[in-house]
Amino acid sequence: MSAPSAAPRGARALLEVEGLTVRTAQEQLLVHDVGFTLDRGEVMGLVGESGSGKSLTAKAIVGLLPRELRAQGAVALEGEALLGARERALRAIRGSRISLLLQDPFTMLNPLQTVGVHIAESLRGPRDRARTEREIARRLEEVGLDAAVARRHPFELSGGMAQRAAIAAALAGDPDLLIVDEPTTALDVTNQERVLRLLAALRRGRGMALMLITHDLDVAAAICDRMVVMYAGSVVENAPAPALLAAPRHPYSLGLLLSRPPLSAYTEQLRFIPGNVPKASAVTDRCPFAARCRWQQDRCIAGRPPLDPLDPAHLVRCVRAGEIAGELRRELDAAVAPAAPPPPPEGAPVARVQEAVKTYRSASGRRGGDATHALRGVSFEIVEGECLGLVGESGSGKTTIAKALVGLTRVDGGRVELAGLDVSDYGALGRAERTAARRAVQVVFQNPYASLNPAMSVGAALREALAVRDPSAAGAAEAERLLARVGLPGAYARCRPAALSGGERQRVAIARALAVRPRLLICDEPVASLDVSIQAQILELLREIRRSEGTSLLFISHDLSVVRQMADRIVVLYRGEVVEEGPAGAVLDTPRHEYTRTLLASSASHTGITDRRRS
Amino acid sequence: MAAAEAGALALVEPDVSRRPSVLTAAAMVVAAIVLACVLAGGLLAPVDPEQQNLALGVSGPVSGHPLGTDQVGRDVLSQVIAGARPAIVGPACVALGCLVLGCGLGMLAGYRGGAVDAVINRLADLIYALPALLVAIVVLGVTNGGYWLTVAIAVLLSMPYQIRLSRSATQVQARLPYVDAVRTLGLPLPRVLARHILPNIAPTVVASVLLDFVAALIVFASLQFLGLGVEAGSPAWGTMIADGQAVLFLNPWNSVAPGIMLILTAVSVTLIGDWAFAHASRRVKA
Repeated sequence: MSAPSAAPRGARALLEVEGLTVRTAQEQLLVHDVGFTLDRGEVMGLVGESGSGKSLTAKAIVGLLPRELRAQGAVALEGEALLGARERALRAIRGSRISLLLQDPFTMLNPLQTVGVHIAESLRGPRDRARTEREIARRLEEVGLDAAVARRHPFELSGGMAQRAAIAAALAGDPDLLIVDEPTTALDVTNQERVLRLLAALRRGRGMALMLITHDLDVAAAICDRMVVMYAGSVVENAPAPALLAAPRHPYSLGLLLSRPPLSAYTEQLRFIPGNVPKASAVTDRCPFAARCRWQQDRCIAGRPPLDPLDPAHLVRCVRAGEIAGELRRELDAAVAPAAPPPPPEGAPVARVQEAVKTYRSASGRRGGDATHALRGVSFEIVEGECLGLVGESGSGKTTIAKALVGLTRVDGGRVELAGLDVSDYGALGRAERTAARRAVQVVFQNPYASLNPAMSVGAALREALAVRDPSAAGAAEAERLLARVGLPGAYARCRPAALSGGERQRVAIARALAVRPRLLICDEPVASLDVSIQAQILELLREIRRSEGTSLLFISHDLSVVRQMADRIVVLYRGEVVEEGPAGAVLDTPRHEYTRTLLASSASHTGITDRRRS
Repeated sequence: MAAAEAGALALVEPDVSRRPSVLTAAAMVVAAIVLACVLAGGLLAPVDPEQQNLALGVSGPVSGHPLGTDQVGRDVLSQVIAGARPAIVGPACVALGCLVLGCGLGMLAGYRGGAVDAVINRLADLIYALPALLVAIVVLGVTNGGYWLTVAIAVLLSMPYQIRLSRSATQVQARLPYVDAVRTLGLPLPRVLARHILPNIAPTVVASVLLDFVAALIVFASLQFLGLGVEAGSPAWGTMIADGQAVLFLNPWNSVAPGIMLILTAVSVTLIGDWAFAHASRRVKA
């Protein structure tokens, strides 16, 4: 979908950002000397992981930084300075010339106001009622919504509809520039793709410039003319999208590209960037990426590399960009080599779900209420040592199955078996059986920021889990061994979760689950909340654990390229029913069910740089 | 990406100083002095608070009696010091009772939900519906009950606040995946509540227990003012205020001094509660 860079390089760019630096009141650096220009009608991707400063950069541009932060440098919209402008002047610009669309449509829309009111607020021109209503209908139609949506409140809309309504509201003032912050992160794959297409179409139709802020290179690649890659508060590469995708010149850009596992084939060794993103303030005097870079030399940490042009349109902040270009190229080519997936293990089933039924009733209204059918007779088996991928979008019943297996919820009908025990109702089990069931299965949750007790040190949490298996083997030494098992230093035992990064927390969560030595490990979207460069680290750790311990995995994910790398077999869930089941390769290469095909098509259009290169 | 935003927000959160402010420090000094009076009792008093001096009778501040004397010539300063114990011990016990019973029941209700929640909640509602001070006056008046009966009644009547607060704080925590994670380990309920939920709701609980104390302090003083829940003649602050009325124009300190102590204690503990909340919140930030 990536359009060629057709934007005319006129005399004056639409938006010019130069030397933008953001600090906290305590002088801590968050964004370091960021500069770029955006032409009229151009689509630019501002790509980076958490802590890269991409969102702060956008907020600084529209003057919406939190009060504790101060911005320096120059931001100009068609020559008019935005940074340091009066709030009143900025208000006149926001909405009508620059509009900002935020990540979560539900927090962005006022729950008490209808969609129509949101749009009417920013409409310009005379406001008689009939005209406004016609205009609102036209705006809704532009984003693919029915005019009747105008009378609805945000909570009456689905995620995808709410995001469209938010887009309509953001565009109501006919801005020259739309800044979109992670517009698809909160949405399902199928909706993600539709929203991206919509944004691309709107921008073409209106000739409006678009700045897309995202952590996902694939999302950016789908619609951007140009990409600006940020890392630890600095711009490390600024290049036309096709050039960046074909031949990234900064090692970090390459790392990001390689961190996304391919959708089209199994890879033996997942690629990742070791380590964590540093704070911007810690790397002001060196190349911010040096500590994680394979090509690092003394001169990389001797000073901050300048953002040098390789050609007029391609800037890169790397002192060795010239000499390592060939090596980067070879890296990228090598990653494309597909491998045959390992043969699926055969053995006795560890877990078996038979005709599981679960209905949630909302408490609202009279007896009965609204019934949501989370599971409508789901059956599958997980064999000893196997990794079963459970795929589906939100509301498909994935999480309900996980909860039923670990006894956090009870199925209304059918049977759930674990290690030979009927665990359909944990409450009905005897003490010994329940203990046995608890030890047979553990969960790694999606959000590592909430799955560890913030008041408890890492060591205490691990010792507690160890004591479940054997109280005598729950010492500090054992806890440190567990930490080492997941690749963390033993000193982390004394830390509280708050001191750890997302990836490190997820490692601790995995260690806690392993403490019980479960036969089945349920991973509920274990990497969905993590940065791209960290995701593959965790996936690789899980694969390694499975190889060495023989633990069976139930791998729940909406991300098909991740599932391809992890699962032997795949079960596709759609609205509480299994619509397709089979070996991972077969399901993903030759899907039979219509829904699986839709899922694959929407994933394929914006995932897997390596896929695109291969094809 | 939620994770990304959390990181950025953590950076811009105002850096709350770990050291208490001057005001909080002053509050702590006041609280320490009051605590010393409670623990040491009459030992700190310059004169025996019970010692009468009928020859002197009621008097304003004179040498040897910096706050003067009451009708029977007892030293007001010494009485104020000795009166700290009956004024403070009861409310402290009430706060403790609220903590144990109220917080315990609240956590149980919030965590278990369902029927347990309904029963505990209706109980709290029932107590809520009673006019607290009136009930206390009637019960104490009818039974001629003593100090500890007052404590028991006060615990029962002020418990619902703590129940509701702990319940809702627990409900917030119980939805978080870390609680699910512990549940899958199969830990027993008391351990989940004590080791996992309690530390995370501690900021709210600690702050509200201190407020419970302040409320009980006022209730006790009010009852003592009415001559309830305290033995006649013993120098509790509330009794002193009441007795001092008769000699208000001869020695106002007789009423004013214990009144000032009540106010200072209440304000100090409230300020300490604020500080304790901020301090404890820092510990459990995710």
